[in-house]
Amino acid sequence: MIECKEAYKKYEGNEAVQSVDLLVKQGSIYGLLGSNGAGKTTLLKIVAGILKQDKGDVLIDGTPVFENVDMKKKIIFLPDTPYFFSQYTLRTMANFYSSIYPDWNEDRFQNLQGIFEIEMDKKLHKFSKGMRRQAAFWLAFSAMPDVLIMDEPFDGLDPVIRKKIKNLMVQDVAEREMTVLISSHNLREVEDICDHVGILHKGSVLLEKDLDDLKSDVHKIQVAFKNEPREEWHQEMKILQYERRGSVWLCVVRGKELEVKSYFEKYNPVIFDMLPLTLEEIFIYEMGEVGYAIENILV
Amino acid sequence: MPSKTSWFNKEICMQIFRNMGWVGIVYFLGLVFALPLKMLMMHTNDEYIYYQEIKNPFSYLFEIQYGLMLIIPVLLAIFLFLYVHLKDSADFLHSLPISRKVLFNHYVGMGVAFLTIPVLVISCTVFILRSVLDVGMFISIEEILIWTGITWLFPLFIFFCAVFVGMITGMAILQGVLTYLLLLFPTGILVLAAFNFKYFLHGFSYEYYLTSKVETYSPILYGASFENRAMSVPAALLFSGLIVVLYFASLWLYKKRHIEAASSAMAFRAIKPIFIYGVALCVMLFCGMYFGETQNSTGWLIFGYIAGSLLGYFGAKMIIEKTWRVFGEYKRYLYFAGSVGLVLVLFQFDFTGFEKKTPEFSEIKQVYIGNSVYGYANSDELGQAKYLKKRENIQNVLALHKTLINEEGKTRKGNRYDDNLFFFYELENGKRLVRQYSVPKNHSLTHLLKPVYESTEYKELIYPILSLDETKIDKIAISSNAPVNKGTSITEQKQILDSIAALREDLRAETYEEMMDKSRAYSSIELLLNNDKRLYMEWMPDYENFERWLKQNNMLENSRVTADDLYQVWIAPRKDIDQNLLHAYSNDELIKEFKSKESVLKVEDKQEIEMVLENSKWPSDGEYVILFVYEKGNSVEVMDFIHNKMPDFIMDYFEK
Repeated sequence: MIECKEAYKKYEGNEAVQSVDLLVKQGSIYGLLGSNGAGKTTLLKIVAGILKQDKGDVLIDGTPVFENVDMKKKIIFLPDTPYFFSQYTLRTMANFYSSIYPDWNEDRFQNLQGIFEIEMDKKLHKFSKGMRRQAAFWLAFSAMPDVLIMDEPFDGLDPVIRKKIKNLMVQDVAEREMTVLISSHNLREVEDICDHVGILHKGSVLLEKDLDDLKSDVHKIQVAFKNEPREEWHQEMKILQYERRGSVWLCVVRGKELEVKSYFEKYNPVIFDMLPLTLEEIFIYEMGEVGYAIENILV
Repeated sequence: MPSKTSWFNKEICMQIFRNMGWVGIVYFLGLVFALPLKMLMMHTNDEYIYYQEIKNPFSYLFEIQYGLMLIIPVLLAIFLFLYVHLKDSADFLHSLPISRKVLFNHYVGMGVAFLTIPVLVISCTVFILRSVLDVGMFISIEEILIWTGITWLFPLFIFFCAVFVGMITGMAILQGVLTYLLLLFPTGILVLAAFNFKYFLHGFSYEYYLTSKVETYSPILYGASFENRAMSVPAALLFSGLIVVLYFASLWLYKKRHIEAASSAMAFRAIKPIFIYGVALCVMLFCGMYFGETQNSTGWLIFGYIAGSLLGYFGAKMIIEKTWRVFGEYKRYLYFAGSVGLVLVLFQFDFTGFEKKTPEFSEIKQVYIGNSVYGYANSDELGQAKYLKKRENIQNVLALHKTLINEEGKTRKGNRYDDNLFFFYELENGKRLVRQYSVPKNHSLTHLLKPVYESTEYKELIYPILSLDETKIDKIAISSNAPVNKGTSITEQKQILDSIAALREDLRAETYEEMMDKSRAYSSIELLLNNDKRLYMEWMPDYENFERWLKQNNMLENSRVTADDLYQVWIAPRKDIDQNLLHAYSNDELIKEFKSKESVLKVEDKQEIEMVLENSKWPSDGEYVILFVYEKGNSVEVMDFIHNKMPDFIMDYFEK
């Protein structure tokens, strides 16, 4: 669906995006993570057809996005600060959207009134930041896009609204295979809805993963042996990290659950527990392996 | 169902009207105030008509009309394309499924509408008011149509200039400033170039270039005279053509433009060096002109160039980089300064061949020679350029010109009070060659100028009376220049012919030196022609034939000041008289001063007074000062003796 091939963009003298390869499948929710200045916004604007990459290809459904009017009719880009024409109300803004986006769904726009508590005929620039963001979501969902691109979308939203919006989004993805690309500097904010995540660091993608795979592949294990095995016991398994607390070893291991289990059982452990791992921990271990300290993305 | 055609979207137009419509409304109200309202005010109140001349619709508050024409289109372009210059709106509008071309056309189209509709409405209103108020005798229908055309086309042109600049820059303020600079640029650069060439090209006539309608090259200055001169047809075609060019250029740039250029000074990388070096060059030339003109010294000129180029270069950099801390990158400035320096050195060696160039004698059709370009331009305006055509004169002028070139060192750096010599050659092949030189007052060119100035052809050019058909003269009126009320008029045909003949004889006999020293005229002569035109000339003391003729016909007494008009005549060495009093206006104090000095000579004999009169001239700074006292002290004149022409009796007195 969304495809970046060696996308490169120089932005005000910096190489904001350097040779990014990215693939977002239709009907998936992709979380683009990265610290400030990693190039997330630039990449999203390229995907949304606002900026043009200097090199490489950015395709949606196999066609380039830039200046592609037919393609852009199916894309909505939600910037980190929503923009509305001055003096416009939600109603007049909706009229504008409906004239621009052919798939605009007026019924849905009316129905969403129950979810967002915004007065339709009040000037939008008088609203608070959070209210304006809600208005932007309202308009975006009513435009029925095939692709929804959002830059730090949940900033300034209270948890209740956040939940409602996430539900709406998941619903759209489930019902009509909407594709979503979300950027965030915080993993926790998006881990509950994303099925894929990519980490952008200094303009390039460090890592791209299916979250389900990730969760099922990394395990935290507490183990103690009656007879201490040879020094090299942990070298045969892909152990990402280990430490010893008294007689108990604490390991983070990569591999299928069964394989891991059978491997440890060879040594007749006295204690063997597989503990759940938060996504955050998985990332820290994964990234540590790659050699980058990127904790700040994940807090 | 909303329109899905991609080239027109009502909601975008609505948005533009909601947010930017006020500019159109302000324009409309401004025009209402300047035209229909003013018409009502003037023509319902009869007194007004006497104060102001109404030539065409521009005559009503032209200043306001013209101000609107200049300001509204730029303001409109700034507000319309603000969306390109602000990051949030640029991102939003370019994320929409509308191609840039369509977006651009919507905004430009609405801008054109805002500039068109008010003008059309006002034009119709003026039509109606014209018949209602019965002002058909002031304004014709054609003039209203011309007004409509100009008031529509000119702001439209300014608008497209501003749009074009808006596509280049990323900041609204800069868009406004650069638009006006661009509109002034054609005249500005020519003025700067003319003044600066003057310093480096010996013989370059900057005055000629500055008088050749240079102001009309700038649209802003050109439009300032719409009240008196409608836009010419070629100008209208040029403006229309430029509008089309600017439209397509702007669209092309808009398509090429990176959206992220919003809020950076220059949207295109390639423009930055052009802007920086362009500003550096212009400011350099401007400072050179300022210091060159005010100080008149090479040192100050070079100071001006250095200061100006530094100011321009780093100033432009500050604008581009939006910070004042730009002094780290001085390397490119050095390249710039180096290349400018090289060009200036090349000019010193006359690499263009401009300074040495003179036309081939055989190719010269005619030549004008005079003291300034203004004499040439004025004569040209009257439709009779004063060209010399005789080969002998052309040869003499050319010889003079060549001498000036060869004696460059002597004539180059004169001061402001020097004489000027202006040459204008017209060649057989239609080309022109214009040169101007300043020569010191006491130059040694007399032997070269004399044959030209004393030639009959030259005299006929500068004295129209020589070639005039004397039978067309109805009357000759002579009035004294001195503060006495004296005058004669000659009306009899025979006397007119005789006096003119005498005058002509004097003019033909006039020597170069006499022609140059017009420091005292007895009287002014005015010739009334039968076609109601008038010719003026001065009666110089050396016109002996004319004087003799007047005497024979008993008119001399009344034609000029004579000894009888003078109450007292005093002569004193200049050093003995308080110089401040000479320039003061107090007659009594001046007379008292002369009376109080022992060295002063009082002339009383009528014949002697006549001799003093004949040899006196308007004051410069000769060794002796003459004081003429008229009519018992009511008026006085301070005079000098003509060089070397002090009568003997005075010489004797002072040498004692």
